[in-house]
Amino acid sequence: MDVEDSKETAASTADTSSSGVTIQLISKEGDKFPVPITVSNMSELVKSMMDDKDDDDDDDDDEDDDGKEKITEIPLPNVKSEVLKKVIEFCEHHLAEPMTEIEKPLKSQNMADVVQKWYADFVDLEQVLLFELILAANYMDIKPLLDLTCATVASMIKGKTPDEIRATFNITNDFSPEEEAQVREENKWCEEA
Amino acid sequence: MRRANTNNKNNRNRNRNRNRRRTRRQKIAIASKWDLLQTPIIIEVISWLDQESLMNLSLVSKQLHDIIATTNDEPGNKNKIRPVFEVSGCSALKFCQNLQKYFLNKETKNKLQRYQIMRFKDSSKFQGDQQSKNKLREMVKNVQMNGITSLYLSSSSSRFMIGNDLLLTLPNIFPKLQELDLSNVRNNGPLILEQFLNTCPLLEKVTSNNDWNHFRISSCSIFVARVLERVSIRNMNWKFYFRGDDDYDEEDQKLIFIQDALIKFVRNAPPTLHWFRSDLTPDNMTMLRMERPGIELLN
Repeated sequence: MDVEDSKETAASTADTSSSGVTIQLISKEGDKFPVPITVSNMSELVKSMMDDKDDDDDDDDDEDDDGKEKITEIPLPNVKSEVLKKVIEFCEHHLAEPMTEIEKPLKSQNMADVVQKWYADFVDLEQVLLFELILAANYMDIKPLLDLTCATVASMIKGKTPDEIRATFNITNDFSPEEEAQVREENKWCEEA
Repeated sequence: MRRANTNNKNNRNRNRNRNRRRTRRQKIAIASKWDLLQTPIIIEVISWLDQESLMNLSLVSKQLHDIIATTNDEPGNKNKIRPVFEVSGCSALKFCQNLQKYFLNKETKNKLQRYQIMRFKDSSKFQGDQQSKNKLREMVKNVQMNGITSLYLSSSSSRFMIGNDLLLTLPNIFPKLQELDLSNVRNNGPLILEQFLNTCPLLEKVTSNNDWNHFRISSCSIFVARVLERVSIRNMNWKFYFRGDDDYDEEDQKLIFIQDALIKFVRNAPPTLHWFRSDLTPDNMTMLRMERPGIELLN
């Protein structure tokens, strides 16, 4: 498991953060990922949880009894360590090189045509991980990550026939031939004159 | 372009290899993952798709069809399926005959009202003759496809001219038309446009790369009366008939006439007009900007 590596990466980024405030994101498995607050604040969920904590700790000091800086822990029980690591990687990069807005509707099947190369490479993943990343982006409310991952799924749909889409995502066709013909006709009437 | 194709090819090969490598368990995991994507996420994915992909996705499974059909009715959803009525072939007569036949059947007539886009696959094949215009009109006198708001007449070749009989008949079939695309279509521009403008009161967008330079000023007046938002008549050729008894020379007269006509056009433009490109002089544009600040004037 490369959680330890990621922890180190995240921790090193945290150390070099200019804000100096570090947040511990805790994954489903209980692994801790220290990140600078600037990174964690890309998640609206974490941001609001931090605000709630601030309200609760209004009268408390920022330091504990030993005089050490208090590190806020944010549990993310819906996000696996492997996925959280990717989320943090995205947020860190986004701060350094913000993602350009992806145009709707998607202009290409190739993500590198619609977004910077780093982001296109970032979402070149196995489907399972991509879907988990979508769920995490949605749960943690990180709009640019949700945009990127959903656009990636859309790029896997774009230009494919229904059969090809089923094969790509392993979806069962539950239409009878008559029902399928009816939907086709609803969408497009083909008139030969 | 070649690089993009190569990338696509590499991506396809990579995906193919990945699919081959997947075990049964992984495939089940993927399928269940797709099922796990909540409807709002699927709607988010859908929002990135173009019309063609959206239609193909609605054919994949009942779940996806239902989600797309449901979101179609949601007011906030901007990515809806716009059902298309696509016409191929070459006979305007057969096209009108078929429509006439469909409208005699109540069920088919109702069904046809759901289509929002009418698209001719290759309109240049529809070469009719002026004589059949009245015959076609008579055929479709009871045909009105009220759902159609966009009409796309594309052509693979600009060598052939689309028959006026068809083009003059179409406006009567689509009274709710808002958008007309005549790109790459050779036709009798002003005549056709006037017919559409006179028959379709909601028409607000016309796209054409035709040589409509001989558009008469009377046609401009028609524009003024419309709800058009953007009008471009830059480099228009003007025809002049001089009596020859004025003191000004012809070039000066032309300039005065053109500027007067354009100023009149802008002053009388409807409130919907917000963009106008023409041969107005900079001084006249400055003056008009003060009178009509809501219109962006360019040349």
